[in-house]
Amino acid sequence: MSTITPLQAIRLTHSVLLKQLITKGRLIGIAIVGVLPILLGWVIGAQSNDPLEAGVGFVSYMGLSILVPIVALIFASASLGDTREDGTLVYLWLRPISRLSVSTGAWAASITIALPLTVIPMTVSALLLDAGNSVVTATIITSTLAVVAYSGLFVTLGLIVKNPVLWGLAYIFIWEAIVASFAKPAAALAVSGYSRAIITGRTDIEFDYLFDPSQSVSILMLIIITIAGIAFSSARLNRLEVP
Amino acid sequence: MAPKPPQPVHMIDVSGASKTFGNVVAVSDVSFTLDAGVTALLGPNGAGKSTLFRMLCGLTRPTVGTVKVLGRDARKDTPVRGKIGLSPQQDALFDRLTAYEFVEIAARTHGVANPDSATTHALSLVDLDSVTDKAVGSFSKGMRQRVKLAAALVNDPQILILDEPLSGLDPVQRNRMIQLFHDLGSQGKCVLISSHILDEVARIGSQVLVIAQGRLAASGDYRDLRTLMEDQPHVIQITTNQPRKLGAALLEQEIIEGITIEQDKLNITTSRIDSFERSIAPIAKSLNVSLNEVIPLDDDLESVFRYLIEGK
Repeated sequence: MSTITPLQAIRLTHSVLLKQLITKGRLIGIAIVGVLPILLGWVIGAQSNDPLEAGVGFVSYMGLSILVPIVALIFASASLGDTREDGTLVYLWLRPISRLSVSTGAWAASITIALPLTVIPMTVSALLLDAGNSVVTATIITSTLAVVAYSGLFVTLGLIVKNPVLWGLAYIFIWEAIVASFAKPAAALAVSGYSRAIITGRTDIEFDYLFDPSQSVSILMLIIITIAGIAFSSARLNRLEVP
Repeated sequence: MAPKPPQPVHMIDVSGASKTFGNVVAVSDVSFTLDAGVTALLGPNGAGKSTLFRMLCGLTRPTVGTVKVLGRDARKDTPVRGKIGLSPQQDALFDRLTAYEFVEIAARTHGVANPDSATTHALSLVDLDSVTDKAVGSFSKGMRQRVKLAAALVNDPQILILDEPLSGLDPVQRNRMIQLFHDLGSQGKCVLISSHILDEVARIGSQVLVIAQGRLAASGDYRDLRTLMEDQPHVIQITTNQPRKLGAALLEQEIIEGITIEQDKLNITTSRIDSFERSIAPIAKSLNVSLNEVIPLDDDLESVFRYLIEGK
């Protein structure tokens, strides 16, 4: 009996969980939600006198604070959370592979679905805003980084609480969308604080009340949040009582 | 002073293990060791069998005591998990995978050298080789049991822990699986199988552990247990087209002591189980009565546990 490398273990976990995550209901629901920013982007683009500022504001608040975290929540919290709930976690847990491989595979499966479901509608809406190429590029970069970071957090959430979607929605609407938008110290502890800082930095738009770390610090923080999320879910798997 | 001889490492070694969930004691001070061969873990529903199995696999840690598999704690030791094959009680599977994919993932995550041939072999052992491309979500309960078994067998584990693996299987499949368990036991593997059906346990293995209310109530050779239980009445349900006629004949021949009839079901009580087993088919044949099903009822098992625990 040989052992498998961590990369192989991640790939196997990713392929199993990806198949479990892709359900017709989820995809239809998310696709419908994805149409909303496209429509809004088109309306704002057609009506705004300053499409750049309006566009950045729209991407920051509608996209990075609501659409991106909700999509990441739905898939990432289900990736391991559903297996814990339905009892299939045992088929990954009781294998001679590291917990880190399992949690990384779960995170990778989540972003495989969440990235196209968020980045594509956000990019289309950025194009419809007609605010220039810088907004489109910044939208792609920040949406991607935000999905990656939120997924790291929400994989862990799925292992910690029952009904992670409810808890996650409360976190998104209360903390990420409201508190972190108006309180700078809170924004330093929110994914949206850093993702908004990247898009405003790349487009040279300034919102006075926004937390504004540099782009490099923001990117680094989102990477740290991602790694911390995966590491925490791995530690959680170690301590978990598996059904 | 002569050096202390090394302690033998048993394939399974449970020492003073208890598990509590809040105020509920699921397993209480259980100790036993097992080596190669087939052992049946007998106990009624809720006796603590699944919790004990979960502790063996490291899925949950004992509140008190130690649980070792091949001398290791499966919760902490990654390599030892590669030597365990578990078929859990819960019905959940990765429903979107085909039977082949489900077993192949098990093979690959175990690092099996040739996963494709191991997968094909494991599926053929459980007679699922004709439905390898079907999603396991569309499987019947019996097929789901067998695909779990295939996944447990695919890495050729030294330790097999099978939680109620025969439930949902038809009689032919039961016989096939029981033969497979015996073959694996003869190959030097430690096969531990749980069941709450006394008659099933008689066919699974001569070694039994009896667990009730979380405690190990008895252990040893099944025949000894059977002897111990000989004076306990057995309750058996017979499904037949002529329950009154068959019941009257059995009473007349003094093979049974009690009888109740419900439509086509004849529930009998007997202390002469051996005579009953020998006579039932010839009597039915002589009366020209069909025997559709003969099954021991759980009440019988409950009486075994009452006897073992309370001595009555």
